[in-house]
Amino acid sequence: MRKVLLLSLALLFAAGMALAQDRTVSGKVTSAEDGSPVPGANVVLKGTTNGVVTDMDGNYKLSVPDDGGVLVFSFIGMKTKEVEIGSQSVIDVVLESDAEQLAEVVVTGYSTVSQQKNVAAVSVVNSSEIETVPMPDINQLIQGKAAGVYSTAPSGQPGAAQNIRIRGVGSISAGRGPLYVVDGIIAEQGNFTQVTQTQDVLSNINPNDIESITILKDAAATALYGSRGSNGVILITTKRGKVGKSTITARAQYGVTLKNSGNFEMMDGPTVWEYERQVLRNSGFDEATIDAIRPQSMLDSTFNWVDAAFRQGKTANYEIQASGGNEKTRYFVSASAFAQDGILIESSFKRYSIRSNIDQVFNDRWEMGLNLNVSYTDQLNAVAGNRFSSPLLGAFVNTPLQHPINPNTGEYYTGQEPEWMIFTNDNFLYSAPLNPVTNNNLRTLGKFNLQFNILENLNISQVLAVDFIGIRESRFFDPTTNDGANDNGSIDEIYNQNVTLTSQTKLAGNWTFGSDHNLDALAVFEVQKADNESFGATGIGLASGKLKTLNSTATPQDVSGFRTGYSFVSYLAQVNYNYNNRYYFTGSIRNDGSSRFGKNNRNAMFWSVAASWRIMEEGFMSGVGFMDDLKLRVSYGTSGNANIGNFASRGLYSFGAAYLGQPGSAPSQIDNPDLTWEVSTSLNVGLDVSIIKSRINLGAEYYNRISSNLLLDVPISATSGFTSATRNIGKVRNSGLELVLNTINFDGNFKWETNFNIAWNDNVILALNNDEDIIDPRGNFRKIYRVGESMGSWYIQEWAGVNPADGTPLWMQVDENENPTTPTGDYSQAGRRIVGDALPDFVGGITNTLSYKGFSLSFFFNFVYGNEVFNSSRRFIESDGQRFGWNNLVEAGQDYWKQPGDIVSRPQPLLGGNNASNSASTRYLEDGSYLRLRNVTLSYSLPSNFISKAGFQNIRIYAQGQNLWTLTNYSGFDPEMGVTGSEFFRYPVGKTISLGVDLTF
Amino acid sequence: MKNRIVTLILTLGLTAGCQNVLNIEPAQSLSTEEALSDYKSLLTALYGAYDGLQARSYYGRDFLVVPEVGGDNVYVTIDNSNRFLINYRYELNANATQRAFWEQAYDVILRANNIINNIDLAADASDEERNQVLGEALFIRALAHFDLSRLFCAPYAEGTGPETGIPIMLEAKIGTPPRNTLEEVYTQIRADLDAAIPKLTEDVGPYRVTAYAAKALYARVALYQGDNATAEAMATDVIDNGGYSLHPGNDLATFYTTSGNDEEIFTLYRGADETMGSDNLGQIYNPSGYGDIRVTTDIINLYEAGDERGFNPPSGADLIYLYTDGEYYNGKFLGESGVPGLVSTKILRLAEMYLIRAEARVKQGNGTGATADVNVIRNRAGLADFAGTVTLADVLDEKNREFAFEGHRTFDLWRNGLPLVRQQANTGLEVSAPAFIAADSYLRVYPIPQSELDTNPNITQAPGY
Repeated sequence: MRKVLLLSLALLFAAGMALAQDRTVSGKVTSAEDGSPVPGANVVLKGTTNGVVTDMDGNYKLSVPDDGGVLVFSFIGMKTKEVEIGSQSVIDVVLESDAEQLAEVVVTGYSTVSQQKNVAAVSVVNSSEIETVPMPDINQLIQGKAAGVYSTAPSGQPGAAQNIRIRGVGSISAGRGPLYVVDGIIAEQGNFTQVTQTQDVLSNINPNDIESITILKDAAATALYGSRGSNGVILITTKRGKVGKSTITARAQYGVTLKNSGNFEMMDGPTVWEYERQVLRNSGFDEATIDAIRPQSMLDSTFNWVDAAFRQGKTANYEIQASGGNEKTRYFVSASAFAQDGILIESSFKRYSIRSNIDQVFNDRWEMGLNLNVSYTDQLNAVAGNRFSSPLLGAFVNTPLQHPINPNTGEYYTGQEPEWMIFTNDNFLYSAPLNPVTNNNLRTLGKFNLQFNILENLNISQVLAVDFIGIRESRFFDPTTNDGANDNGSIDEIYNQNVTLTSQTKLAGNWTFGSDHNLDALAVFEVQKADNESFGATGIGLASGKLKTLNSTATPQDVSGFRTGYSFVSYLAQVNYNYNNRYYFTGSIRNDGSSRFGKNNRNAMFWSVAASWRIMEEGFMSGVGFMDDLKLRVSYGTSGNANIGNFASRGLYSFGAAYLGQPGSAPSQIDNPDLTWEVSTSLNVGLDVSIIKSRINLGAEYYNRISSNLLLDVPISATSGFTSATRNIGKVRNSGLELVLNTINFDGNFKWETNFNIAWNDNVILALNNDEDIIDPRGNFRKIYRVGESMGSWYIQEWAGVNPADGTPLWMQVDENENPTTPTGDYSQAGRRIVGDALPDFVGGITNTLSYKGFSLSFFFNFVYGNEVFNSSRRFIESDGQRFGWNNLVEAGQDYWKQPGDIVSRPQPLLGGNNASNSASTRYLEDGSYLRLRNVTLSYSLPSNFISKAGFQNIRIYAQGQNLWTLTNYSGFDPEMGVTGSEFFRYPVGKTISLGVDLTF
Repeated sequence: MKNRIVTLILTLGLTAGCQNVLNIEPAQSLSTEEALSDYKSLLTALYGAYDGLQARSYYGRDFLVVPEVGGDNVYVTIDNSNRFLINYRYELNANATQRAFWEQAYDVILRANNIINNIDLAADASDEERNQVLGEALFIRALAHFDLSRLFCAPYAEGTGPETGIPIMLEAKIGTPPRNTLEEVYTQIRADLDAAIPKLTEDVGPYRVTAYAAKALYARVALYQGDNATAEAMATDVIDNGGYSLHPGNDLATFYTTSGNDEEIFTLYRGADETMGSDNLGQIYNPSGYGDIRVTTDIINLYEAGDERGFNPPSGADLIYLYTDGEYYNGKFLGESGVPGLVSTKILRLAEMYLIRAEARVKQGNGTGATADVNVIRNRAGLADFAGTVTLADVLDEKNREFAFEGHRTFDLWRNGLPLVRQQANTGLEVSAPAFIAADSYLRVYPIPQSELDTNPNITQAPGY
């Protein structure tokens, strides 16, 4: 800003001098990158107001004094160039792009700062890293890209909600996910659906519209988000038009997705037949009975249910983007259609999205911006509710001895025939196509911004934003299917509407005192109010499965609905000061009032202080030639987690109950007027080093975040009528180290870049209610919260193998200190103890990009190490006979006990199971570490001189693969799972191979 | 100046617009004070308490299935959905058994307590109206305590010393209560029923509680307690004065697929709109549902030829029927209102009063009186009078014939000191399970759920677990 000021003054003076102009210089300005003309570039005679702007072809013509002078060529995003005129009359200039200028701005939510001035711990993922990756959800795209961000996919259903944890897990009962901010507005995220298993409203945003994703990690950045910042903040910035050349980009991409079986294999028909006969034999049945229960004839028609449930998925994306602008008006508009058919039958996701981002400068005083995004998604969800009738469970539950086609009719069994031997009474090949579970989601994100420049260095702006989400869900049960048979067919229709209104009033200014003191400041008043309403209806009794509407049901069975909401009224301020661009200080403060907080604690105050020291600017560093930058950063501050229930503090009676057609009421929540937000206090120390002409850049961060006042759903004695009560008592610490290393290994025509990041996090519980253990009811009572231990601690019985004498299972008993003592064959005598951690020791990613002329090849691996996964699926498909009539893992039929003395890993399989051998124990706890080739992309940009004749600026063709290779010991389909680390017949993520072309003209 | 005005307008306009933004009230819940404030709201809370009894884990299904699947009338087929396996196989442990019932019963107790302790807020109602609501709540509290003690306590006859009962809850309170003695539990149940009976003056049966429903429950409680004289007296009062009549024996098929018949003393109504789908009580038995639980030849052989309640009866009622797979199924819970498996649970009905009185009389040495009561039930079932004088075993057999699948079986065995003997077991049709459980086995008492042990250090686990 100071430069602008000086320049303005200089121009004023210059204007006062009348100079003779008597000759003309002309020329063309082109881009070094691709040789294309640069329209809209400024050409100014240095020291004067004399200047022009290049035309559409990059040409300019300018009168200059006879004695020449210096021409200054400048354009946003390019390095400014000065040329001595001398006696030349034609001056062509090639401008190089200015990577520093492009990358130096860091979005911090309420403002932007230059990289140089930034003191906070942030990670930035740029559009180049996420564009064209064929995944519907932005959370999937940042996995492994940003240090300290642990992103996982609990389901491979297209459009499914993801789990994101930034710098560990800082809450036990309240929300653990980050806050999402889209173009400066706090946006709704997560799953609002009721009968659909998983749908993320963030999947409505087209990832290709995103310019950058910035992840705020330390208090210096998150304190600005006050009571909502403590789990970290993800800032999504969408693309905006740039002054200069207009571009239109058309993209087309098509791909296929394949099942990723991992180390997982189910038995085939003959194997399960033989195994089950052995189970019967072991259980004392005579051969005649065994022949009756599992006759040879069963092998005549066996069936592979897994192959029937999974298929080759398809992905297609078509998109047009246009952007451009001049000094007054800039625009970015896009339209896209994305469709993905999942690898599971009857699962798909479609998105249609339109965006318009407009910026207008009216004059020196007034500026305006408008962002409008409308998107519509259509999801078909085959896994709703993990029903037995879903193809997902059916694939593993259904025995291969049952063929889906009835030989008498030649058509699918419905599953309700007497001879159908699968206990679910369902044949998903028949029922899944007839029983669609769908949701349609319309989301409109609109933001209007009006800015008034009070002074050149002081402005006030007003932002108004509307986030509208309308979700229509429908669940249909055909009367001829098992799910529909009870009610003779049923239809559920649910509509859920979520409207969030935001108003921000922002005052921003900057001042320079003397030559060395630079100050900028920001004050914001923000109000946000969200209303969430739903209504639904269920009708039962359909004369035919072809009748699809509620009015064709015989009996209106249920009417449901709810309304909830929350509000925040916030004030915040931030001051940045630097001395001589060498010492930087930042302070911020935010006050939040929220409807969610108990009446005794309505307002919350948060703050942070931070400083950085650009050691490089010190005189003593001047001799260190190989070093380009060295910066030390320290921050300390607080932020909160208000992600608690909207009415969590109230003692409530709910009215969902009914008896005899009369409304009934029942206590639903215990009163807690003191209930309030959770608080995190965090310290961050960071070091940024850049050496050897910026070819090696190293970033290191240490952090220590202590979250206190944690809301605990403290389990209470059920004699109270409740099973838990919420209290602010817990305390947990996340501390860790993050390293980012970006190197340019080779430069020139052949370029090789490596980006590597790794993050260690250590999670320790510091305090609980009276420091008593909490056995986590949300984790099926298999996890424990214990002081001094990780929040991911598995607390289950330890498997002690198989008793060689009789083939029965053994578990360890424990003493009062939970040390293992002696084995027991009685599960109820076995003791629980901490046997593993669902949270990884470290996570990270590495990307190598090789480019030569127009070719580019990149490999991106991500890795997770040191987490244990409880594979609950195996309890059902490796049950030692308990699940007789189900299918089994191939391994279940191997290495089991046959005779006394056998030292084996599996008990003797018996009908009904062997002494509850499949009860939860470390038998089913596995190492969840993995290394995955997440993405490999090969692309080729056609030479520009070749395509420019055809009117193109760029043509890029590419092929890429997702999840092509995985290294893991995990026995299930896919080691990548939700942060709970619990497997139960998940929808696995597939392997995708796609081809695409981008045309820019 | 213009700048300042713009700034002022922007700021003021917004601040004014959000004066009340922070006050948002829940729309489908009320604060406890608002929810319990007058007669109407207390009546609504009472319906909420009935709703609590209807839960799947309680009278909606589980509490009627557990005493049957633990007995000899039914078995779990080998091709099953894994429901009630641990109950059938007696793999009882604190982690896996009937936690939902424990929680639900105490939830019901809380719902009742909040009515009982706030009844004065119904100042806008007449004394009769207020007393009726109070009486019903007292009955519900007594019933829930009683049902908890039936499952989680050893029979009364085995002792009522320390740690024999379950915690008595008389107010909304988060605590860590120890077990009361079983004596205290029964004393409280009787006190609640004693208090309820004079207050229940309205004729709201059978779907709501009446004075005779309270007396009928009293008779059952007294019988469990071995107070045979009281059991006999209460049963007699209900039989003589309640105005109930036994449903015709040749119409039992209708009786079990409808509700509100003259025989019913207290029935938990469930309309078609309250269907739980495949979780409806009947669907654990019906082949159109899970169909996991099927009928043993033990109970089939217990019926004499011509018994309307048995297999192949004269009226064709088919309360037990042979399905196409060659196995026998329970036909009592086929469904109501056209909804498969939907059942309005008949918690107390007149036939039980005759059999309670018969049992009480035979235990008091009045074989003749007991025989007369048994004959009433036999005659209704289309059978001739009993030849001779009934013994206790005869009365219990009759009770089993009459109440098969209705949730009495194991309770009747254990409280009479009888073992469980399953003639049909481990034949290949059933999941393997014990064929014999001794009358003094620790397995007759359910373990306190692990979740309760984890949160309540004062409670003691039942012996043997």
